[in-house]
Parts: sequence; structure tokens; C-alpha cells
Amino acid sequence: MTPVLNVRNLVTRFHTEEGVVHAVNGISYSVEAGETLAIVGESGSGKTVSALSIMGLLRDPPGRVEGGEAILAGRDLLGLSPAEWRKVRGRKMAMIFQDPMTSLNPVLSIGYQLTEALRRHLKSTGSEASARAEEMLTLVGIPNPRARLSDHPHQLSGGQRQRVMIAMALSCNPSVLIADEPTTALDVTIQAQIVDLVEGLQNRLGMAIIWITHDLALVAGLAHKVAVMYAGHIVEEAPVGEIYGRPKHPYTQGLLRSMPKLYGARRERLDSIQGQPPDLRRPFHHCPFAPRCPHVEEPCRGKRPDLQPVSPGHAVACWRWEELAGESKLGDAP
Amino acid sequence: MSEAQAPPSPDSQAGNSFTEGDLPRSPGSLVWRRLRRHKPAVASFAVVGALAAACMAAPLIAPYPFDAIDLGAIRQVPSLTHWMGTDDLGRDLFTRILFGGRVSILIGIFSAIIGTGLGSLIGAVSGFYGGRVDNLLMRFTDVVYSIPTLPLLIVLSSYSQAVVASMALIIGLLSWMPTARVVRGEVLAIKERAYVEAARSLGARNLRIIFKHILPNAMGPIVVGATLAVGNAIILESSLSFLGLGVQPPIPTWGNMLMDAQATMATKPWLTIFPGLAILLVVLSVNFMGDGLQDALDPTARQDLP
Repeated sequence: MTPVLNVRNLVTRFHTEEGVVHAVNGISYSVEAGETLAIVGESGSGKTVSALSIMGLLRDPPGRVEGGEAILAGRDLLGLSPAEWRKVRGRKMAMIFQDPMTSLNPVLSIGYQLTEALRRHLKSTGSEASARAEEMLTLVGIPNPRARLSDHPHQLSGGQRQRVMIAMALSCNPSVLIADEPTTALDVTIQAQIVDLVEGLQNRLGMAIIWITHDLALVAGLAHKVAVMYAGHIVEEAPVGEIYGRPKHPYTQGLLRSMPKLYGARRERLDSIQGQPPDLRRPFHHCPFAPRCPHVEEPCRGKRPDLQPVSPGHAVACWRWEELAGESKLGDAP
Repeated sequence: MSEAQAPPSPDSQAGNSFTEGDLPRSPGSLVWRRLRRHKPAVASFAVVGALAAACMAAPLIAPYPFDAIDLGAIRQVPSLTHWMGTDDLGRDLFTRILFGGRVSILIGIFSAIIGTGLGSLIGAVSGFYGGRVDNLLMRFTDVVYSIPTLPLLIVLSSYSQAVVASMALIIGLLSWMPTARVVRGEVLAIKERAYVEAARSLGARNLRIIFKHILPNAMGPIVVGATLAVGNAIILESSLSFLGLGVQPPIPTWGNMLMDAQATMATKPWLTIFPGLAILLVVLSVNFMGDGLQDALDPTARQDLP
């Protein structure tokens, strides 16, 4: 299958007063229709910036996409004019955001906000648009949708608002949906409902999803493949089973070890990864994870590793992955 | 005015007691609820409403024509036939207050609309686009701000016909600056909100984002500013008329009535007191209205949410 969206060597930098911040350093990924790619990483690893870059939503200045391409349906998005990009946003590609409490405009009715994209992109008129809006609200599981159309955001709960956000994003049936930590601001039971909802919608509508999160537990039940980002680089990419079963990168292994386990010794302290994320104002000529890596050796400090194939669909950016796979298994590293 | 439309259900608890009927339908109804609790503002709305209605209906309710000279009854003290007395030419003061109010209030409202509209537009564009546009517009605002208003008004009005429309235009064109600054500040804050980003992610154009998503959220300060601008415009108009540069006699305004009364201020005080009182009442009420609206529209004043 050919991918719906193909991102190649994306480079995004921020030109600030304190210097150039290398936020995204040549990352590549692709998603197919009906497939979910999870981008995982800690705060500041470049997950959201890479998403905003391909949506054309980066604030310039200071942010600028300085290289690479993002091919959607045969066209490179990064070369689009602002007007062309507006035609893509909301139509071919849509986004849902982290905080549903602030992502809806408090002074506009739900119905208005839901039909905005329809009127803009599909030139729908009044009754047509509100019929579609009602249909979308039903689809995302909002009870009594007709009455909800005239409501304002403060009359809905957080979970309902996120459902409305999803309905807004999907109203024009986009081929790619970018979900930027859409469950982070919700409590756990609602998180599960939203994840189920999005999965169900994907099965019905067949869009590709890029799900950005720092929650590895969420990824397990949701994604088909996972890209782990660190300091603006993708350090490991694999099908979801591989990431959990055979993580190769020390950073991925560290992330997995720092997750609480349902079974096992209770008093055990959670593992954490030592050190701080690096300063992104300098480009990396060494492995970006080297200063924090428990397995660091000479080659790691000399040259930056590129992604190397491990098995079909699985790639890792680490000089020592073969050695490490031989000597230590997940869980018994120092 | 009773707050509770629905009878309390037996299991209702404090803080948990609203039913479907009590839920506010829109932000507008919330504002209305809060406004009703601000007593001076409610009273002011009544006063201004009644005064404005009386003035607009002046041709119907005034006891005399506004320019009916009665030289047999000049400078009479207030009486049953002339409620507020008569002026130097025997014209009925009550009639002239009503007609004068028409001019003053219309100029106040129109110049506030012009000034607020212009100020909102300049502030919104400045705050939204930022950078050079912002710099240019804000320096322009500073320049207009630093021109002394009254002398400029005097010059402008001496070159233009002193009719209601041109007076409103001139005052409006010289009073947009505070609104522009306030709106710019609001827009700077609002444009960073997540819902603006969300609208952008759905492909909304800049103009739609400014007018549909940002400005309605800045409506609070804009409405308050507009209300206060009405009061300022009435005062400015009165000052100009007092200097003889406003709307020309025989058409009465509160300002030129004061001017006429100058010479007799000590001996015939009612000629000064009534127009002065009218200005005071309207401007004071308008300021109270602004105050009440400010409290009602301020999103941080959430402690009295139902």
C-alpha cells in the first residue's frame, strides 16, 4: 500500500534571541490509510512541533521549517502557499488538541463551530451543514445531538468537549488526523472512552492517524506502529509489538522501565532515566542520548548514529544495539 | 426579579441545585444575570433609557416648539406653565432641554460607535498581525494621542459645518485611541488561545479568525469602552457648544444652552442648573453603566456564577 502521508527528513528550527533551537532534526515517517502511528517522547522532544510543521501551523517567526518534505496525495505540503495550505487544513488533514477545555471558543455555539469547516471547505449551506453537524455529533456519541447544537462549550463536560473537537476535526472526512495528546487533560475513564471512540471512527472512516503522546501504556492498545522521539530525532521506530517485546534503543528501554507495572513487587521504586534532556541550541554530532545512556561508549560520543534496520519495519539509531541485544535483556540492565 | 424559575427539587443541595431550566443558555444571558445585580447600573439604564426616550420623542411631548420666542415671558422662574422657566428670549427651557438632549445623545452615541469601531479595527489588526504592522499602527496611535483634543476639535469644527453628523465624525475620529490600545492588548492574549489554533487547524482565514473568533471574546472591554465613550463625547460636544463652535443656534444643545446662560448665571441660576444637571445625569449614568457592564463582562468575576 502507498502511504497517505509521507514525511521525509523534516527539519524545523526556532530562531530565538538565545540562539537557534534545533527542535526537529530530519525525521521521517509515513502512515497508510487506516493505520495509526504513535509518536512517543518526553516534553520538548519535538513531537508537537513536527505535527505543527506538517499542518503549516508553526508560528513564523520564530519557528521555521527548514528542510524536508511532507507528501500528502502526491503534493509536497511544505511548498504550499498560505492560501493553498488553508484549503488542506481541515479538509485533507485535521488536528485535535490537548486541552478540550480551551480548544472550543466560549462565545460561539457548538453548532457554529462544528459547521465552520463544512461551510469553508464543502460550501455547505445552513440546513445541510447542521444536518451533517448533527450526524457528526451522533457519530462521536453525544446524546441528544440536535439540542446540543445550540449549546455553548461551558455547558459540556471535558469528555463531551473532546468528542465535539473530534467531530469538528472529522467533519470534512480528512484522510489524516493528527491527535496531539488528546487524552492528557482527561481523567482515565474518559481517556479510555476517547481512545475507543477514535479507534471505532478509524474503522468506519478509514483515515490515517498520527497520535502524539508521552503515555506508552496508551500506545499499546491503540497504535499499529510507534516512533520514539528524543531531542528532535526519531531514535527507534517499530511495529507496536516489537517496541514492547524487543526494544532496541536504550532510551526506549528506559521509557518502558519507567512505566508502573500491574504485577510485581509493590515497594519497588520506579526506574527513572538519569540526567536532563539535552540543550537543543546546539546540533548533535554525537548520539543525542549519549550523556544519559547507561551503555555509552566511545563511538557514541564521536558520531551520531542513523536509523539502522533491525527487522522489517523496525529501525533503531544506536551504535551498540547488536552488542547490547547480545549481552542484556530488558529488565536486567544496570 | 426572581432568580429561581424552577421550584427546588427535594434532593437539591447547595452548589448542586440547578436544573435544566436554570442553566444559562448563552454567555449573553450570564452577563445579563450579573448586570441585574449591579443596582447603580440598573438604575442608570433606567435613567438613560427614560431620558433618551423623552428626548427622542421631544416633538411629541414637548409643551412648546423649541424656537418659539415669547418676549412677554422672558427669564421666568420655573412655574407650572414653564416647568424649568424660560430663557433670555422667553423660550421654554424644558422644551429646549428635551430638544437639546436629542442632539447631545445622538452625537454621543454616533461618535462612540465611530470611535469604538475604528479603535477595535486598528487594535485588532495591530495585535493580530504584530511585527511591523503593530509597530506602525501603535506609533500612529501614540501620535494621535498626543494631539491636544480640544484645540484640534476647535480648528476642525471651525472648518466644517457644525451639524450632528460632522460633529459625531470629528469626535469619533479623535477618540478611538484608548479603544485601540485596549483591544490590541486583548487580541494579543486571545490569539494565543487554543481555540484560535483549533480554528486555524480547520482552515479558517485570518479575517474570519479576527472577526469571528477573537473580537467576540474581546467584547467585554469593547462594550465598556464604548459606553464610557458616550459620556466623554457628550462632554466634548458640550464644551464645543459652550465655546460657540458646536451645533449652532437656534438648534439647542445642552452645551449652547449653558453658553447662553453664562451672563445670567448669578441672577437666573435655573438657566444654568437645568442644562448642567442634564449633562451631569447622563454622563454619570453612562459611567455607572460602564461600571456595571465591566463587572458583568469581566470573565474573572466568576465568583457569582450560578
